[in-house]
Amino acid sequence: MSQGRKEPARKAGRPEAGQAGPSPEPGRGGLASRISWAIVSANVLAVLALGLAVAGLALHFTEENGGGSTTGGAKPTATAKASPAAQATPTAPAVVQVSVDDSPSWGPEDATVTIIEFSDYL
Amino acid sequence: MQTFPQIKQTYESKIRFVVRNLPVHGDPAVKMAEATLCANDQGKFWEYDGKLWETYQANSQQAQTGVDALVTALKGYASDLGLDAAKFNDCLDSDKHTSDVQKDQQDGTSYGVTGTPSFFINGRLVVGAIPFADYQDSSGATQPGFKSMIDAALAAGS
Repeated sequence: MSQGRKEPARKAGRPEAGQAGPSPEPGRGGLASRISWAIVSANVLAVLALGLAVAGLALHFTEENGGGSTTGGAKPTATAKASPAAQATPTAPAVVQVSVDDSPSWGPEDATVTIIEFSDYL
Repeated sequence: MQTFPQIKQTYESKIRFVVRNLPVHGDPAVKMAEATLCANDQGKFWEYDGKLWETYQANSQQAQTGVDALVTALKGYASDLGLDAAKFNDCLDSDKHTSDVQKDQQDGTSYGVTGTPSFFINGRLVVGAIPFADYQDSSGATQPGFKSMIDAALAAGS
């Protein structure tokens, strides 16, 4: 749900940023300024492309480091996170909030231990 | 001694034990669950519950012939235990507790119960007719009985 809320906000922001450059242009007019704008735009695009490439390269290395953590320096962290959950599964089954409703019972209502049986008489 | 008398005798003042219904053997089992709640209306749930376990074999045979024969037996048990027969019979015949049994079934299913008997000990599911004392499973490994599980839960809660 939170991603659903964030996504429209990001989309709403893009048109505003995109309009910031071209919007003054119609007011200036003239071929030279249009050519200048095209060059500037090309430069901006080139810088953006370079930035994306660098970011992608950095991400690639980051992922490689993460993926290699099973044998690399990050291994103890990954192991430390995985171990408690792995150990908890067999020894600590899920705790279910079971309603006693107004079902027949014996023993003190404020007992620290409650056993609820689901039974069939056949 | 059987498991549940042992549990009650040992822990009656220390734990709370609640019974809910999950009839998985069709209409006869549903009618038996309703009968226990009709007995509960007269403050005789545990007596009636005990009676149904005492007569387990006979009830199983009668259930195979249909609900009607079993209902006759269920009414007879109520008389044997000194319940108000007219009230009990009216309760059973009017399906007074049908919705209560259905709610137990729905709740049990929502909690992940798929067979009987199943138990929740402080919310942790234990499946099967576990003995009171520790026991050995088919592989020879020692498994905790009810006593060990209850003692552990009491120790954790104290």
